[in-house]
Amino acid sequence: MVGIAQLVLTLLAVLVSQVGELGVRLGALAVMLIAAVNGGMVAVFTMGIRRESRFVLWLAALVLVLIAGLLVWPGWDISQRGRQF
Amino acid sequence: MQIPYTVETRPDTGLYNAKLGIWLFLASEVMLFAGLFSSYILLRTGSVAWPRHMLPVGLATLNTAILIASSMTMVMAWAALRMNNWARHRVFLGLTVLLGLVFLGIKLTEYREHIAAGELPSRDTFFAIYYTLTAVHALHIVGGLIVMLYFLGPGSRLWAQRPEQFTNRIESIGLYWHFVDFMWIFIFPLLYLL
Repeated sequence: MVGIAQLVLTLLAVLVSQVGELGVRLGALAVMLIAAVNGGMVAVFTMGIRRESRFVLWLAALVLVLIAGLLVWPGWDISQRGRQF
Repeated sequence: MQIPYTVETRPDTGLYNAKLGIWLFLASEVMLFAGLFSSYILLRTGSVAWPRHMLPVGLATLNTAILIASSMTMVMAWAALRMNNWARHRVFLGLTVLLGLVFLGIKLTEYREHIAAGELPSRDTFFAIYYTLTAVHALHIVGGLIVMLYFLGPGSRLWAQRPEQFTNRIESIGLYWHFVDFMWIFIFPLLYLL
């Protein structure tokens, strides 16, 4: 079931990316949100992150916080310094 | 002397040794890929022009489906051991290896086509990050396949001696393999769809 749901989400992401009406930014956001749901399903249902001990849950939470920082920082940095590449 | 907590869980973490180790390892691997994603975001948002739709979406979608399928066969391989079905476990683990090899084969085909078209890492920043992200991911696939082949080969002897510990090891490699699938779920849209 999880595999089928993942396949459906993947195809949905491909479809959304091919649809031009959403615009570049909104389309990109939609695609990455679908990917986040897809990845969340892998983490929760396939890897069983919620079934594991509290140690794993805390580790996952810590990693999420660090990732959020790593992903947000470049966009903020560029907005401060301007495009350079 | 028997090493403790190879089967029973530790009271402090609630995990057996291999699972504790693999979760910590996966956390470090997520940070590795997060660093690469961060580089991608920095390069893309910092560029004046970023090439789009340069990569074969159809082929990559097929590859994504193959990796998802391999994740499912990996679950089946572990579940078969839990039900004490050795033959079924071997079939599904072998299928997982086969699907992983197909994924690598398709990836190599893509690389060959890019190289033939002169699309090397030196061409522009997009191809530099494309090759970096996908090659690092492919190396992780290779690593996982090596471990699985070990458990199909000489490592399978542990099943006769200590079946519960062997099942735990398969669970651990299964977690690693799902992580590899998890990473591709983000790499695929980032490079191919945006």
